[in-house]
Amino acid sequence: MKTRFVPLGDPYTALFAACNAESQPDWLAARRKGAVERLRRDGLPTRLVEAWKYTDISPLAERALVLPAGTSVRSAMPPNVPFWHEDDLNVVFVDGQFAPEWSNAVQSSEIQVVRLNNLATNPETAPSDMLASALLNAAFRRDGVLVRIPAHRQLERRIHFFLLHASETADAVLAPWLAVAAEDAAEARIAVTALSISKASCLHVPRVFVSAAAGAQLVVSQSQLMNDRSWQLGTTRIEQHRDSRVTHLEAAVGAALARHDLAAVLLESGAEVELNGLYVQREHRHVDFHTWIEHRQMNCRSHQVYKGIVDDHAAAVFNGVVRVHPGASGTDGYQLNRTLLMSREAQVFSKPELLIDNDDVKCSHGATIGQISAQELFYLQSRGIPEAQARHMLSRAFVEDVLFRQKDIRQRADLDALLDRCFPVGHD
Amino acid sequence: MMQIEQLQRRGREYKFGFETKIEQDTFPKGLNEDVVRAISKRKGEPDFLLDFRLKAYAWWKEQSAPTWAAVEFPPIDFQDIRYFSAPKSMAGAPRSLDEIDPKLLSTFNRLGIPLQEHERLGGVAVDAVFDSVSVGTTHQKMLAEHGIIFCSFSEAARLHPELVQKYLGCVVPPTDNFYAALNSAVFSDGSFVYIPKGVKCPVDLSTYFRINAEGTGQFERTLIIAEAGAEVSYVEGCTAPSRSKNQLHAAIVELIAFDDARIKYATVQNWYGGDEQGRGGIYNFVIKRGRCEGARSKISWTQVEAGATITWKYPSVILKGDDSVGEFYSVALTNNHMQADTGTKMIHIGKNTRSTIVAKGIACDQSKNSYRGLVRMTPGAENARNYSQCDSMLVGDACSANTFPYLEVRNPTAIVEHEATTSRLSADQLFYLQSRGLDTEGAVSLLVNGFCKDVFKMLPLEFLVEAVNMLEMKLEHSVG
Repeated sequence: MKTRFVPLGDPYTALFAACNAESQPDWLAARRKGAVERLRRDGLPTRLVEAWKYTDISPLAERALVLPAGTSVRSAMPPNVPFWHEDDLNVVFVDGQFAPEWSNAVQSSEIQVVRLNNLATNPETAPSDMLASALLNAAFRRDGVLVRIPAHRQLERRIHFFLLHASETADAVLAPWLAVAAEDAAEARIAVTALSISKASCLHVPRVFVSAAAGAQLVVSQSQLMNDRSWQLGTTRIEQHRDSRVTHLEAAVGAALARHDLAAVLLESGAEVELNGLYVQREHRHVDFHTWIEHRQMNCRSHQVYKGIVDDHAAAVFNGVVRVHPGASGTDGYQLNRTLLMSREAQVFSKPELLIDNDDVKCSHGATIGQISAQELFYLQSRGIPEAQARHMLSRAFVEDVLFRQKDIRQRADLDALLDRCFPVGHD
Repeated sequence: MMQIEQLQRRGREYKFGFETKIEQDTFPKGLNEDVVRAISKRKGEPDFLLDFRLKAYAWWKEQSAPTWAAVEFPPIDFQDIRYFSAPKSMAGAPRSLDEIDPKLLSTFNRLGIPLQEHERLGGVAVDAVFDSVSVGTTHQKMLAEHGIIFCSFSEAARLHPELVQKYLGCVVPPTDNFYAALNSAVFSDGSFVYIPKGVKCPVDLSTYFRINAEGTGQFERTLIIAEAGAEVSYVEGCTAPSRSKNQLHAAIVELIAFDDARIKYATVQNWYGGDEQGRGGIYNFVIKRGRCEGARSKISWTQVEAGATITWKYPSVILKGDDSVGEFYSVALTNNHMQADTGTKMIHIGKNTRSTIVAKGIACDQSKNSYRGLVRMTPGAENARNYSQCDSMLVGDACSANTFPYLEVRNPTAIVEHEATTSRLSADQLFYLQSRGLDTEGAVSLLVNGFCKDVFKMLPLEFLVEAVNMLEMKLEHSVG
């Protein structure tokens, strides 16, 4: 008999206790207690749960996870770490623990960096997220950082959260928490990079919380470059107030299994959000994007474009929801998911959803799944470009137009370099 | 013209809400193995059918009712339903149309289905189903000359057991899901159609379903088989009396098309949808599935869903034969407190298979209208293509419209495209039409007709008129 949930294995009990034993503020203890109780009661979802229909995380229940041991990275940052820029306002986590020695942001007078243990209250005021990924973060969370951007501050330098996986221990569980609070009319660029420099497997369950107060303008990008043995189950919640604007771009090229649940909640009127995604999935990777955009008030706008390429034995899932509440008149919502399916063994699942409870709306979505146009390929070949190269050009161009929407020039350059690696010229 | 004026005067009132006072032979409430046996015995069925029912019932007992649809209703007490009800005058052997109880005939006349006239005039052959039994089938003789079998399911089980045994449950197996098993255990009557090789059915075939008895469920079963090169167009209509208690309708329709065969199946569904407070009405939980078994076969579903408190159905096509084609055209209108979770499934298995989905949803008042559709390209579906278009229109600020498409692709040569839009009736267009002298209702009706045109043009002419009238009636007073 198939079940909707599988119970957690015994090793989890000791792990939960170990995380709980560390010093923590009261609110986190309460949140952790709730999450642990829920996980103990329900266990992990199987594919019979609608939200996990295409991604099976139930094997995690039997995995013997461990807490990461200390690593050498703390004393020396390895050279040539992609996306690393000395002149960013860096906030570095190593194996889920904040590393102040690498985080030049703590010295900045422009922003305020507060460590989790020094926060008297939970900046996430919304009702607790009950998704398994969010529960795992709350249960295993040992460290975190809140960055506050003061009102009317226009940040020149970019804030870069670096989530490094360095532990050589297999099956380490890393659960960093990071929050950004942009106060009224603040403007900033924020990047979050999850990156393995270790070859060992890990379970990475980061939690990101972004709040944009009235008139704030944020450009946020998240990149996932985990190694091919690791799993990442990330959750992000963006809350937007009156007339705020958030442009979000996520890119995913790594991890054996990666799932990201991204929620953007437009709490007050006039808020605008743009979510873009690009993914290049090869080998046996599995990637799952769940987006949830909630229009709570009048005259908000949301725009969403996710484009990806799926090759070899990889699988990609897109499940985007636009939810319009009864009071949200004048809503403008758009959602597009396009995927190129390049191989016989690859799989694509697309599920764009509209949930609309108001008649004064303009909402639409589209989804296509197909392959490189034979005509375009023929044209390039007729101009003397070998087929393999023409394929690379066309597939790169397919995802690249998402990059053109990115206003963070540095992030765009980094992703451009990453795409160069994904589509090497002359590769066959 | 007179008829249309009458219809208009009646406004939004459900004109099929009357009840026929007729002596009924009804089973007591509840479901157990004895009830299943009794139904089978009552219909004088061959043993294999009883086996089929008992197996389905045994499986059903172990299951629990699914709850995943975007509709809300209190749990159904399956022991509080009568599983068989038939007019007393139908007991015994089947008769010719002349011998049918005049009360029954007049019921169908009031519904606009004059069986005797149909017999004489031609055009459409009708099988009329009243609660659990078929009360008469027209044109049988003429059809028999072409080798076409068109009769009630019970009759087919008696006269053509080999066909029934071969094809029953081969598209929707009894263990497919909860309601499939329930229907397989207790199905009463329905239509059976067999079109032999190379025959094009000369008239449209039609079934008319009427629920009359109180507290009964209707569980009909329709099976249409089109042999190689055969063609048939089939239409079904449904109504029920206005009652304050909900009634369950859980039917199964199975279609099989062999090489080059074409089946066109149209539904105009107008079950009683409850009153303005959402009391009463039919729960319409129907499984409709077609199988394009042969190469170049085609199955086309057209539905206009304008009734039933809750509609929960997904007419589907399994595209197994190479170059086969599946189509789904749907208009779903919900008003008052009605809820609909409807759409389709297109399962592409064969090479060069194609499917088209056009779904239009109109939500008025406090209703909830959801489209849910699956397009699956299996690894063998070389060069398969799908195009889906789902549009929702919202009329009034308390209704909801949801869209849940599922696209699953496992073949790199397949192309899947899906588009959906949601918006309200355009104020600009309304204003323009009014400025040209149309009243509000006329303008709304014109716009809604335009919105649904892609689907309406797929309906047979008689049904088109009925469908348009039905939508107009339901939309009256919704806008303004």
